[in-house]
Amino acid sequence: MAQALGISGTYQAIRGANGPAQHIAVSLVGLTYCGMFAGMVPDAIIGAWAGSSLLVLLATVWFKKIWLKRALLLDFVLSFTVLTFYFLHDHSAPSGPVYHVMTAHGMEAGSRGQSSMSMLDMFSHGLACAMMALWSLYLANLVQRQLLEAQRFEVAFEGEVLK
Amino acid sequence: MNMDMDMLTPILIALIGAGGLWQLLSLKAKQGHEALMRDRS
Repeated sequence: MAQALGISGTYQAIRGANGPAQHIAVSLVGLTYCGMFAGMVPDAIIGAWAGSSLLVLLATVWFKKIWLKRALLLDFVLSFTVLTFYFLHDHSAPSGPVYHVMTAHGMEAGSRGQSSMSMLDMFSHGLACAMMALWSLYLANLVQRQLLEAQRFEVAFEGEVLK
Repeated sequence: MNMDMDMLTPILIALIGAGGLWQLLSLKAKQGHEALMRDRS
């Protein structure tokens, strides 16, 4: 019967989990999340993030490992950029027309059809983007270590190419 | 596209932060690899 991994076993499993499933997952989650930041981050940056996520998917299936590492690095830089744009974005600023209305208490400003983000909403958006940045960084580092390992074994077996 | 400071600041922060993090992890991976290569020889 399979035993539980425990903390150490889980850590080791995560450290070495470098299968294509992870690369495809990071790509699909990136493609899903990028739309959440529309209106807070320039469209060009969001488009570039979606493009880099798609590139990770293509690189996983068709490209060499070195290109997969580069695609993951690009994805990391772009998700990090989205994160900084998100944190520097003024969340209290209205994104639509502001109406000035005379009330019993004097002039007041209001906007229609816009609900401001709650703290929980902001926290979840920030966490989602930070998770994406760290995930792609971790995967790029795993691919780099895998490439170095392959190089080491190639030297060990005197240039014999390992399958 | 009009590139002003509001646009450049997050990009610069991201590039410096991402570059620094990657350099750190990359250096660690290379050092580990070199240590393994030395052990073998």
